[in-house]
Order: sequence, then structure tokens, then C-alpha cells
Amino acid sequence: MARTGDKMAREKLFQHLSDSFLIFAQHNTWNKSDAEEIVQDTLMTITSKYREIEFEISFSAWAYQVLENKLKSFFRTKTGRANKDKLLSDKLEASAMWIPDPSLQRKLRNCLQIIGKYGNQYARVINFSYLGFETGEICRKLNTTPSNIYNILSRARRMLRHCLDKGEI
Amino acid sequence: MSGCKDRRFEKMLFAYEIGILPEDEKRELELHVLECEFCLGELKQFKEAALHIRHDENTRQTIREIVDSNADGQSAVIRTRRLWSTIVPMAAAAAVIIMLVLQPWQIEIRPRQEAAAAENRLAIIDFVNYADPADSQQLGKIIANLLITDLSESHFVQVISGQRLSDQYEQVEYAESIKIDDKLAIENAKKAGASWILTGSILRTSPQLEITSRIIDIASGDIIGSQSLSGDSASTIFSMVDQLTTAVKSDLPVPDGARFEADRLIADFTTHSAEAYRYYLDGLDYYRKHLNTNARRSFEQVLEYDSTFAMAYYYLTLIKDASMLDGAVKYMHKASEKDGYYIRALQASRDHNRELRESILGQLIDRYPDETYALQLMGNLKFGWGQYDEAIDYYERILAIDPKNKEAYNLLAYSYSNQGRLDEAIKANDKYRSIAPNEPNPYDSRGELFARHGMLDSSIAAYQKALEIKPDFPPSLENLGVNHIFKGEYDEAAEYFHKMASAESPSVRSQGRYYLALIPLNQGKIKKSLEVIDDCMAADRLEGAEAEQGYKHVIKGVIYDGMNKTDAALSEIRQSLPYAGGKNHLYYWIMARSGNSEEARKDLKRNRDTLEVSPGVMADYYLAAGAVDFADGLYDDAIANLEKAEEISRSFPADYLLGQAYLKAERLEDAIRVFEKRLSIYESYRVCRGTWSVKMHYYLGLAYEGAKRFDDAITQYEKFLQIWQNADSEIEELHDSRVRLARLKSIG
Repeated sequence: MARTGDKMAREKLFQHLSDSFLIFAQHNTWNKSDAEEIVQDTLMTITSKYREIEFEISFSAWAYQVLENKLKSFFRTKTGRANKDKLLSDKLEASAMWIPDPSLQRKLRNCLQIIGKYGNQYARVINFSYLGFETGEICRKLNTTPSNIYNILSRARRMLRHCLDKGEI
Repeated sequence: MSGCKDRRFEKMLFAYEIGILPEDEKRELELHVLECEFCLGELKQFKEAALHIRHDENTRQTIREIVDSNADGQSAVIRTRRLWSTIVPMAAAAAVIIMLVLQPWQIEIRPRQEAAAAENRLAIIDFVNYADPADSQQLGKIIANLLITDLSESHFVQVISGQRLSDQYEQVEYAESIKIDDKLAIENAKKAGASWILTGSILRTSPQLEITSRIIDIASGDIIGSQSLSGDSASTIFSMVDQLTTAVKSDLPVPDGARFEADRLIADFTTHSAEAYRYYLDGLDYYRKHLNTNARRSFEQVLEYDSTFAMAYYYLTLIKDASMLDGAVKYMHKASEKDGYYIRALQASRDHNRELRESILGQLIDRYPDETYALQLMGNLKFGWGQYDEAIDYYERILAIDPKNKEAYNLLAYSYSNQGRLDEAIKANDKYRSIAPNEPNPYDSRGELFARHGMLDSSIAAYQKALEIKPDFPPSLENLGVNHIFKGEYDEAAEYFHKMASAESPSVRSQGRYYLALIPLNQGKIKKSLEVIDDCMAADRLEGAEAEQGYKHVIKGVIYDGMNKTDAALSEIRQSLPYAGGKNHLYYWIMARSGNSEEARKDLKRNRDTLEVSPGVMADYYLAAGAVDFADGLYDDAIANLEKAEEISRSFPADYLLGQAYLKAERLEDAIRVFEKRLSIYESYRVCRGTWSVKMHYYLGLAYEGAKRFDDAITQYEKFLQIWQNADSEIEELHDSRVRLARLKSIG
């Protein structure tokens, strides 16, 4: 529908893409302005090309590939730039760093502790992630399956969301 | 939004957010998010929290503290174990010491047991009966349900009910005769959040029962265990399920504790009778579909075969007679752990102990987090108190677990409706209808939603649709008849009530006869109405339906009160009390109206402190107090009490009296507001109070007249006189409204 010129459909589609891409990009770089730059760049490419291209795969998959390429390109460029002008690069990075929210910190601490009373499995999984382990390694350490890990985390996330919204489990 | 279409991805969200997903799964998830509004919404809403968990040092520190603090608890358990292993060989006679040491050990281990159970979800589907493909004896279903009940006793495994899975099958248009292959079963189990699925077959039923089963790991599709059992001459289906439970727990990758936990014989906490159990499953099925007549019959059959089946008593308490709860309580020791919670919660409800009921349900939910019926009961508790936001939360929790839960959508719709959110109510009902398109109840509910919001014609259309599906569905027959009364279409109303009066169930027949009496009553034909009610009561006695007499005494009391025959009214209300289970607002209203208000007040005061804290009774208390104040002419006090009643439970009698109290206190705008609101709600309660409902037009007319809205007043007087055009001439309000109407028209 977006390709045939339906404006509302296009706006909706691009909004969804923009929201998704921002999350994906920030997953790779927690520098907010870098992420925004990557997303902008990606969307410009998509906007200019989506009408013409014959998709061999779905539109989503194609758009995702564009983002992946932009991310790779960004990190290659960033490494190069950093080598050239480290001071400037550090300054830029510092100015766009993510800043924690004290109020959310307090709420999170409270809720994580409440959930911790029901079992600390989720905390153990998260702690392993801090140490750089991925799912497979965590499964070996906890003698469980990936599916179980996802279930543990999913349950904890649900409880955490509820607690953050309502202040209780 | 009710959830992600593919729950596998939904479960991966947090793993993604904290960055532990392998690259291929991360990519797969991100591609999915591009097409899933629900998952994108989830990521957006939780983004800041996820960033904190991932990057904020303070939050990381909290996580480490939680890991460390529970690590201390674990080492304490180990110390206790070592102590135990030292004591046992030392003192064979020290059983007490062993128990003292064991008990703390077990208490400490409990949170971990249940944490383990929360992740270890096993789905069980009905066994396929190759010996009898039609499964005429329902053995496949019986074995599966017994297994579910038995394994649910474990603290290490959470069992996903077969009902949830079969509901998913039904709405994918599979006929009952079609057997679901394993792949589809695995898909559905995955969506339901299971780690494993147990499938099974009945190979032979005679001369002995022979069954096989296997456990499939959902993630990998691998078979992680298989079981094969052959019965002998002493075997019963129950003893074989016991063996199967043991075998399944051995094969499941759960902590060793699962093999050593106490395991009662399944027959000891269900029944020893296969016939009884078969009828029990039928009863549950009917109950879930709101086919209460059939459900009642099935549960009664259960008790024919096993008079100690606790849960049969439980359900009969809900759909037949509150006194059946005594049986459930008496045989509670023969119920499963889960069912024990339900019985105790119902007992707390009967004892009017809201806090205890809420506590028991809370414990039940903690123990069985996926138990949607418990979540529903908790939601209903909140609903009853008018805490609709909290009720909605519980119903949404059910839908997060079981997106095809019909009852949750139904209750969600009523919750929204009670908040005045009709659009959302209809959307929830749309979902309900889409899940159960061939059941009458969704359409009946829809009719009720429309009726509550003044859309009479839409309501009628919905009820008619319900009857197309099930022509003898009592609620829709009743509601259609009531709607036609509101429209003044009395012949049509009578047609539906006659259908009720020739139903199979004696109580439905009695109700049908009763409603036939309400037709003349709503037209102001009081004498005729009294005759029909007396005939109705005589028919009840002939049919042995004395239990249905209570509400007929009530309506006679209301009628006599309207005729200012307060002694007769009081006599009728007193005769209704044994059926009502206690004095209600009508009793106190008529006591006060018959000159006994002092006694009424003393009685109310005496009861006040012992009153249960439950919405129905508290609302009725304030209604009763308000009614007595009104009868005594203390209108401000009446208003205060009636407003409290209305706040807890917006009811027709509360509004009827409150509106009049406002009128007497010359708070005309308030009176108008209350009467207008109530007259826009088309509910059977209005019709059941006969003259009160129609008189509201008259009182609204008075309020408009007082507020100098003469055109509106004329409309209401005309409406009143039109409905009562053939009414008995002695009715006081009739005469007064004619006089007022004539005066207003002459003013022009």
C-alpha cells in the first residue's frame, strides 16, 4: 500500500520502522545520537529506493538488511575516526552518553529485590550477561535449556513490568 | 492487543534486551519485531528499564546483591543437609530430631521448588485411543485429566491444562473426531509456554488396558522419555495413572526432589469410580460453556456413582444450591491440593470472610501461577467490589497466559461496561464471539451489554442470535421477554416466557411462569398479576419446586406495598426470608412502612457489626438503612446511606429510592440524573420490581416539573400513562399524573 502512494500507510510503515530501528541500533550502540544518526541514514536509503526495488525477500527483510549494512559501515567509520581524532571522538561520545534516571533506578532496585524474593534465577542469568556470556554458555553453567532461560527471563520481565507500573507484584 | 502471535518471540524479549541472544536468534527476533506491533510496543515500553538493567552500574549492583544474598541461603541448606546426614546413622530412635531438621530443610527449599516448577511446564493432551477410535468411553480424556491432576500435585512441575490446549484446537476448526498430530500439538503447547509436551496412546482396552506415552522437548522436538504400561487383572485406570505419573517424573529433567516428594494415589484425591470421573469431565465441559442445566445433571450423576466426590459438590454449590458446599468441605481431604484451595476459598465466601478468601486465592495463584480459574475468581472478587481496574488487570493476566480464554473476555466486557466503556466492552465481546462462535453465551452477553447502555434493538438482535444457536437457552429467553416488555410488546414477551415455562428444568419452568405474571404487573394490572402469581405458586407446589417460592413472595410483598397494604406486604416478605438466606432491604423497607421502623433500626444496628464485608451484603445494608430513613421521612440521612449503597453496587432499588429521596429533598437535578440513568438501563431487575420500574417515569416527570422542564415532564407523564393505560384504576400515581399532565398542557 505504501508503494502505491497511500500516504497514511506509508507514514505508519515508516514510523514502525523508525521505532524498531532505533531500538535495534541502540542495542548495538548505547550512544543515543549515534543510533539516531544510523536510523536516519537507513530510512533515507529506504525512502529513496523502496519504490523501485524488486524485492527478492520481503520488504521487512530488505529494510533490515539496509540497517545491518549501515551499522557495519558506521562501526568501520567510527573506528577510523576515533583513530584520527580521539579527543574529539571522546567528547562527542561523552555528550551523547545515556544518563540514568535516579527515580527509575530507585524503582528498579525496589522491584528487582521484591522479585528476588520469589527466586534469584533471573538475577543469575542477568549477572552472567554482565560477564559477557551468551545463552548457550549460561545454559551450561545453570544446567538448563535455552527455552528454560527464556521462560525464566520472560516471567521476571512480566513481574518487573507489573511492579514498575503498580508498585507491587 | 492481546499478545504476540508467536509466543516464542515474546519469551525472548528480555534475553534480547539484556544482550544474551545468539546472533541468529537476535536477527530472527529483530525481523519479527519489524512485523509485530505487540513486540515493538513491549520493547518501547520497557526500553528505559532495560537500558538501566544493562548499563546502569547501580542497577547492576542490585542484581549482584540479589545473586549473592540467595547464594547464602543455598549454603545454609547444604549445611543442614550435612547435619542431617550425620544425625540419621547416629540415632534410629531420634525420629523427632530428624523431622525437626528435615522440616526447616523443606521450608527453605520450597521457594526453589516452586521457582523450578515455574519454568518446568508440561503440557498434556488427550490420549489417542487406537483400541476405540471414537473413544466412546472417553478414556483418552480421562487418562489425560487424571495425569494433569496427579502431576499438578508436584512442586517441581507446572502442568498446562489440557482444556487450554483443546480450546486452541477448537478455534482452529478441528472437529472432535479429527486427531491432532504431534506437530500441531507441539506448536500449540509452545504457544502455551510449555517446555515439554506429553502425548499418549491407548493401544488396548481388553482384556487389559495397555497405554504408551512419550515426552517431547518443545525446543528441540526430541523425545526425552517414553513410557509403556500394561495393566493386569488388578489394575484400574487410576492405578495405571499412578504408575505413569511416577514414570513421567522420572523421565522429566527436573530436580531429584520431584522423585522423592510425597505422591498420593490419584484415586484418593479424585474418585475410585471411572464413571463418576467421566461425568465429572462432562460437567466441567458444560459448566465452562455456561450450560448450567446440563452441568448440574452431570455433577448430580457424579454423586450417584461416588457420593464423596468433593469437587462435584463444589460445582453444584455454584449452580444448584449453596448447601452443597457442606459436602465439598466434608470431603475436602479427598480433593487435590489445588482443589482444596478452591473449596476453602468458597467456604470463606460463604462465611463472608473477604480477606480470607482473597488470601486463599492469592496463595493458590502463587502456587499455580498459570491457574486461570483462580485468576478469574480473584478478578471476580475485585469486580464485586466495584474495583474494575483491578478486575481488568486480572482478566488481562489470564489472557496473557491463555489468549483464547472465553470467560476472561466475557468478564472483561462486563468490567468495561460497568465503567461506561461500551466500545471496549463490545471489542472484548467480539473476541469472545470469535473464539466461541457456536455458543449462545457470547451473544447473550452482547445482548446484555447493549441493554445496559440503552440500545434495546441491538440487544434484541443479539439475544435472537443466541437463540438461533440454542433455542432453549434460558438466559436469552428471559432477556428477550424482558426487552419486549420494555418495548410494550407483551404478546412477544409472553411467547418467550411460555417457552421458559415448558423447559426441561423445573426451576426454569417456574421462572417462566413467574415472568408471565410480570407482564400484567408492568401494565399496572395489579389484581390480574396477583392471580397469576398465585397460580404460579400453586404450580410450583405441584411440581415440588418449593425452592422457587421465595421470589414470588417478594414480588407479592412489593405489590401489596404499592397498594399500601403494608400488613400483607410484611407477611409476604417474612415468608420470603427462609429462601433469601436473611433479611434484605425490602424487609426493612416494609417494616418501616408498616410502622415498625424502631424495630427495624434496632435490628439493623444489631447486625451491623456482624455483617460480612462482602459487596452484596454491605450494599444491601446501606440500602436497607436508606430505605428505613426514607420511610421515616429522613431524606438527608436516606440520601447519605443510599449513595453509599450506590457506590458499592449500582443497583436498581438503590437508584429508585435515591431518586425519590433527592426529589423529596428538592435536589431536582440529582433526581433527574439518577432516574434518567436508570431508565436508560434495560435490565430484568427492573421488570422484576414491576410497578417500581414504570413509576420511575412518573417520578422523573415530577422532577422535571419541579425543575420547570415542562416539555420533558409531559413526555414522562405521557409515557407513564401510556404504559399504564389499562392499569387498575385505583393506583394513586395514575390519578396524580393525569391531573399534572392536564395542568401542564393547559399552560401550553
